[in-house]
Amino acid sequence: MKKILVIEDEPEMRRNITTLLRYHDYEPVAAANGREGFEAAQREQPDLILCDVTMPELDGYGVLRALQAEASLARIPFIFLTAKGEKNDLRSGMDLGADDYLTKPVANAELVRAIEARLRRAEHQSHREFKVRETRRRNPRRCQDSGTGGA
Amino acid sequence: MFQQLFERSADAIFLFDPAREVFVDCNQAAVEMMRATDRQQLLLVHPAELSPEYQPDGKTSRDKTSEVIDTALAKGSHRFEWMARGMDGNLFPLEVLLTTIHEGERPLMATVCRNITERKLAERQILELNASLEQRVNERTAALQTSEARFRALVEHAPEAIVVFDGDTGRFVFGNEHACRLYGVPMEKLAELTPADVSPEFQPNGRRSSELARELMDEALAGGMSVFEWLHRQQPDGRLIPTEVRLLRLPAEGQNLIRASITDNTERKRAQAALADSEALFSAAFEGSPILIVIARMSDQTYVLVNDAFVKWSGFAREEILGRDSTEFSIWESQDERDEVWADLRRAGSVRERECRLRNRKGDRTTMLISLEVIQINHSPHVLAMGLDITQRKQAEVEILKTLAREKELSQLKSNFVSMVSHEFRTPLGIIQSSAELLREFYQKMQPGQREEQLESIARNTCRMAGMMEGVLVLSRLDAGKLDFHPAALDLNLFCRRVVDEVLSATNRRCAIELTVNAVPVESQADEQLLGHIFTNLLSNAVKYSEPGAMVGLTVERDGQDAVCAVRDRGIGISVEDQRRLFKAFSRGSNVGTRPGTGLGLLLVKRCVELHGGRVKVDSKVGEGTTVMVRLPVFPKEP
Repeated sequence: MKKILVIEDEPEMRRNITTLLRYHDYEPVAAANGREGFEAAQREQPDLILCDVTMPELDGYGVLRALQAEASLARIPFIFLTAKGEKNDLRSGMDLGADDYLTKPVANAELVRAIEARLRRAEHQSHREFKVRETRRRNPRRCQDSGTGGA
Repeated sequence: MFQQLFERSADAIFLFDPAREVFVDCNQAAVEMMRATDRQQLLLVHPAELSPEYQPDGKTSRDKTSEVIDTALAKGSHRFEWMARGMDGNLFPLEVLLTTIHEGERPLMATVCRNITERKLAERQILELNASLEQRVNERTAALQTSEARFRALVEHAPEAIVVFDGDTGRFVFGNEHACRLYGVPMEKLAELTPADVSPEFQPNGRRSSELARELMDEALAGGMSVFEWLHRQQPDGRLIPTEVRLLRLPAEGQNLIRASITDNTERKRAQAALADSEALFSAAFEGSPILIVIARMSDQTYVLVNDAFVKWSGFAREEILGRDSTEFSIWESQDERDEVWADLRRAGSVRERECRLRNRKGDRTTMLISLEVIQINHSPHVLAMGLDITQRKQAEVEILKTLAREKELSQLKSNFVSMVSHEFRTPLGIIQSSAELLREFYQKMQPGQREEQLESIARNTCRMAGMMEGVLVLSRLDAGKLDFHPAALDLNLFCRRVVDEVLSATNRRCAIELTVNAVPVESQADEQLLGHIFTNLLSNAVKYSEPGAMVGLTVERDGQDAVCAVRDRGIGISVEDQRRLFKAFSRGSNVGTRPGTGLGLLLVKRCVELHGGRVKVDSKVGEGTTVMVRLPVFPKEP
């Protein structure tokens, strides 16, 4: 069961998202602000993070930056879910390196689809990385000659 | 005695024997003349031996001797010239007088000779001089002829009309092409006419042309050089031509000739008229212009001419201004600015549309748009300065800029507000949507309590949105000026009770509200609607952020014309950081938790208080509570 971290300061929203994820067979972990969210990410090593932008203590951008600074967390798929719907908000979110940017209100089905797509892609990627590592292990000389390759 | 005369004569004298053709005697002068050593050398000598072979006329000296002897014998005496040769071999001319004398039977001839070398030389010089003079005369004559032809051509084709007339008869003697054209008369007919024939009967000054012409001619003949205007009449159509005439007596022997040079003044008259018109026009423009115009001398910068507009603006009398410079009136606010303008003018010859700050006698400050130009008046540089008072325009510009800035700020605020509103609406909308969808998709899987929760969320967030919408609407009505200040008589005491009741009812009496009204007069002038927004919001907040059952207080007191209203609670309080953003739209305290709210209430209160001419002040501490003090000028002046 995939573990999804929901970082959202609005209690009802947080509750609804976790309820939705549970019904879709995910294991939700909830955090009420950015700081808590980052701590939960370190602790839980989730498969995906769904994060609000405007929050007390540490905002969504801050969370993303903190995650990227830590190698073990930097590759976790990250989706912004926010009320900030302006084009430049989306642009700055994506520029920071988010994998997706959803604007409230979002239909439950759309939210689930976005989560599934990011998880699938992440899986592909880790599979490919695994294969590269395997090839390298078996033919170290050839891989050295052709550079890093693979990914 | 004759012997003595013979011997001492300064002239050389020979005695000549015509029969033998030899000299028989001579005096001392003859010896000297012939450069002989003594008399003997010359005696019994044929004259040809004392002469060159040929005489100047080409005859031999011997033949010539016979010839002159014959002539002298026939006539008694004969005077002739002879070329002699001295004993030293030099030739010299002689004038000889040969006279026949009789000494007994034997005829002798006295030959008196005079050396005429000098005379001949003088004669030759005279001849040469004459030749040279003749040549010079010839040259001069030729030059004069050329010069006359040239002058004649000049006169005939001169651009001005030139006529010569006989001062006695008054008739024309000569007229050049131009004159004939001017008069409209062929040259050959001119000699029949007098100046009066080519003029109208009367001149513009009323004098008869013929009489006036006679007078002017007499004046010229008397040696005067007269210049006057004359109206000519052109043949054959009688067109009148204004002219300027110069009369001059010509130096001519035996004749009283007068030369007249005539200039056609038609164009000049027209130009003069045009100039006069133009001057009148410029003068009218100068004086009538609403633009300030002055002319000042460059050398000392003193005013020489100022127009009415300048006089009016300056507040000085024209006579006070003229002859003085601007520094004497302190017209320039800044001496540096004045110096700079003058420097630029001197450098470039003109200054265009420079904004300057000037002031007049009263000290009124004026922004003047000035242009300066260096012009020449009587060959002396002057400055023509024009100024346009743009003070009002500048003020209007400043106002427009201010208004524009305000408009821009407002429009920015509005656009920010719209984006803020849309942002704030997204969160409750998101909750409503997700709750509704959860209910729809997983209704069966949900526990009854969970369904209840979702429905509650929908209802609460719908209410929150409605509240926001209400707040935004009120604010937008305030912004649009639709919610205005309309004071009316109001009993503040009664009004407060009613608001308290309404809030108690709306909050399900979550908190008790204690109303204290101290010495407030029955009469007050207030806008009930604005007051309603103020008190409802403040009391609702106080109840919302207090624990259930806590006490909320509303105190109303009079302070002069003001009603001082304080709403106190012992609720959660507002942090210092949040207090800074207290009146910002949608800004809410970080400690509000799940308490519903829009973040618009206090902004609304502030706007209504300001519209009412009052002030609002918040005093709060986290965990201790909040007091909002509102001061509203609603009471009449105390007697």
